[in-house]
Amino acid sequence: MISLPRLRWLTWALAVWAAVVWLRLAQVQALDHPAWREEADRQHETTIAVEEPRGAIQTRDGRLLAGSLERVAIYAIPRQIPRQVRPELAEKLAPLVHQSPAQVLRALAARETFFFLGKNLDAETALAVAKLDQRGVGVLRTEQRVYPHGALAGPLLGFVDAEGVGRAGLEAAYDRTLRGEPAAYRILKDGKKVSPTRLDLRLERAGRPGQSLVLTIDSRIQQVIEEELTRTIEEIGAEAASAVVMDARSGELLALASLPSYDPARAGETVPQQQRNHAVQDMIEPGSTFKPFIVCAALTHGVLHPWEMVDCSGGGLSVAGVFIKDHANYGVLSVRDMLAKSSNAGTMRVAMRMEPARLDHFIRSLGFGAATGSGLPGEVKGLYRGFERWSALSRPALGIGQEIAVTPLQLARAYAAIANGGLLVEPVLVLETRDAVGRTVAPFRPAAPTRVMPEAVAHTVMSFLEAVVDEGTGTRARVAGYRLAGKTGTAQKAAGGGYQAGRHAAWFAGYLQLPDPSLVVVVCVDEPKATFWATDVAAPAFGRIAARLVTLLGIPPNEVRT
Amino acid sequence: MKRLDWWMLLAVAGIATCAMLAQSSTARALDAPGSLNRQLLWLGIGGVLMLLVAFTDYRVLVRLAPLFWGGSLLVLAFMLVVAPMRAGTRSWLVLGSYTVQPSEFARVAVLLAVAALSGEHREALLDRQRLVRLCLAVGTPALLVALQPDLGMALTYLPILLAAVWLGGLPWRVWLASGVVAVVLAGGAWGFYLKPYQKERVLTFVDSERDPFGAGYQQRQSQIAVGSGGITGKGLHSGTQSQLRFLPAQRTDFIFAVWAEETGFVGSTILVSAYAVLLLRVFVVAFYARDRSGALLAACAGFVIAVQVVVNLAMVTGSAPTTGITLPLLSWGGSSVWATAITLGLVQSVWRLRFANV
Repeated sequence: MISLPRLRWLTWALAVWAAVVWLRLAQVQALDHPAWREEADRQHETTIAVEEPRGAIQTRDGRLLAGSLERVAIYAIPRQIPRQVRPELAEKLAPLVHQSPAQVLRALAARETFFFLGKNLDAETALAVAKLDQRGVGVLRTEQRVYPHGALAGPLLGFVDAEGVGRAGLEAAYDRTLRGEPAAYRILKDGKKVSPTRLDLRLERAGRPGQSLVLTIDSRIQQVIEEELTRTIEEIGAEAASAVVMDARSGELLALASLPSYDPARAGETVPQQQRNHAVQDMIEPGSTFKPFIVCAALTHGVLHPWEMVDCSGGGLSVAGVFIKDHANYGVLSVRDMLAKSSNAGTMRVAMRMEPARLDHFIRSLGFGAATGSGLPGEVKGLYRGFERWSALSRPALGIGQEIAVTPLQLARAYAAIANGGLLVEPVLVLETRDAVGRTVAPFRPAAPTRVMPEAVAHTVMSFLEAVVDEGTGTRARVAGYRLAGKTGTAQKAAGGGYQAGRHAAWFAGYLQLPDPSLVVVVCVDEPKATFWATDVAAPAFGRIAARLVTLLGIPPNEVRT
Repeated sequence: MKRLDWWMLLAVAGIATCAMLAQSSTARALDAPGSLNRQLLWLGIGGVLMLLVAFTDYRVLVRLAPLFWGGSLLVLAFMLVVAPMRAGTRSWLVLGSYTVQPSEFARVAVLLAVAALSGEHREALLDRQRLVRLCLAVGTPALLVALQPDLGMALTYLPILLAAVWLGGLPWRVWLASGVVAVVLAGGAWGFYLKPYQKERVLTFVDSERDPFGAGYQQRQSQIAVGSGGITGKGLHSGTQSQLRFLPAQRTDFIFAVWAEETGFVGSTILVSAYAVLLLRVFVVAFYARDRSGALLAACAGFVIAVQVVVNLAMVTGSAPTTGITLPLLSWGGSSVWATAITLGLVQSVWRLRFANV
């Protein structure tokens, strides 16, 4: 039952079929080869980034606030480690990762693919692991971020997360500068998605180590400020306290303290509320510390004469059906005494002499209602609304520092303008950045200051503010032998459109080195408990700070009066 | 020895060499050096089996065909009851640390049975009674295999029947009618028999972009491996797709992709040529056979192997759906190698005894 012609047919049919398959092979392997080749490369090659050492953060006086230690991490890929070698391996690995052999064995048994047996280990560990020469166990270079001064300037510095990425403060704001450019390596990966089974690294692009930051912060001043704020919090029982020390000429911030602080190395143990930088993230009404700016505005626009006698009578002022109380019925006072005694009725009347648009423009020109440009993460603009939305009560309210909320940094900057002869500067935190070998990469170039008031006005108001400390509400800020100036402010804390009973903030904004002051110090104590008047809370804190700073900075006494 | 077909032996040796090289590559990729040793052992034993069968008289074996066929049927039926469930089928018998796939050997018995049904010179080529017997001889064991269920394997039984009835001179109108029935049966299978993953394979083949990470994944990976090999290949043991385990089932169904990736178009042409020489010689044997049973034996054997090779290569190059049909002599597995070796031994025996006066 076999037909030879049909057998021939069958043979030919198969031959043709085979030829078709062979042509198909030619198509796939020769003609379409480039496309498949590309597809294969895309599949088995991947680029991984290897971080370069992170830059350090140091103060202008050369102290290291944040640095990185070279560490190693031991990884294991259990599926590549035969069971019979595990007990002996665990015995050798255990001391390296500070665990017991049983713990290491359990860890190996619990997983199949890549995991870290230990992190942040001494660099010498790498050598010990290399000696083991066991497939499936290896080391990777890692870094550990260290903060040698602990909680000093903690909220300012911020912290890095487990991957070494800055998550708060300067670590976040300057993350790209500090990190540098990661190196890129080509790596072969396999179809089981376990990348380092056959590590075949090829450098594709060299990295660049991170740059270091040199801050304008002086660690000694920062230390003094934090100690005194801590003391205030302990004595008065406040929620928080912050202070800013600024060089009025250059805008350099010599200290920026926020308490309670925390150790950035232990950021994981804190709650976000603790990480808050109160100096730039809190919005608080400035209260009476705002009064000097009202006087500046009125003098600048000629609606007030420096030697004029102002009506401070009535024990308060009734505006649009609302009576705003004063501390006392002061009668008629000079502008100097009005500020020294911090008369509400007087400054409210002065504020009402201003045209709304001009007052609004003056307040904005001082930087209120806008971020200062410090670049710190989470910095707020404060609360301030333009004159278009003012009510009849707005001008007198602004006269006593209400209807506006500011950050301590904003207030320090505006006060610096008075000390700087009417020139507003931008706050600066970073003096320069340096590359890995210490060369200056980007020196700081200050922006040109803006004139916000005539020099004469600034000098006049400065002399008035000296009277506040000499004989007014700020006498507790005095330091024997030194001429100081400043202004107190007690604000009720606002929330939800009204004021909260019993919750206050006490301010003191002051100057050192009169008659030509170059240092501005702003202290803000949030929710003091024992007593809330700035006169008794913030002024003494400023006094203690001033007393220590003149010693620290070697400022000679300049007052002969006792 | 001189009476053996040396061209065929040379082709088999060439394929076996390629098999050893390709399997050494997969053994490295899969971190299983033992699997290479096993395959070497199986190829060696396969060679011995082939020669042993070559030196027996195929006519004696054809006469014993009912015995082999009946025995195979018993084993296949037995399988459905006792064989352990593995990867969803009862295809494997476990003997100690070895597994045997009886369906591979049963196919050899079917070949002998078909040869036994060819009849004498004087008889009519293909009458109705013989057609029914042929269908039963192939269909019964194929059905049992399909019930395991191992559809891919069952489908490799079909070429034996097709070749036998074609060569027996089945009229064209019957082919046409059978075609209609086949379409109807295929429709029925789609509705009632095929498992979702099998349907998915067919659909994926029709539209390869349908599911690049599911059923289409294997085929796509295979095409990437073959295509990225280029003209000269990436070098033995240096195929990225196989060594980095992107290529699935690389010891078995997709072994050709490993070879093609590492040796390129040159290597795949050599291997395809070896298969071509082998199959050509098998058909030559069919022409020269001394009797009908010998001719049918060789022709059916050649057709079965040819279909497996062509379907597997079409699958590997992405021109046919993934069917689970292995590449004879190249794919990993003892049963497959031995069954193919025995089949080729039978063909050699037909060649050796081609002259009537011996």
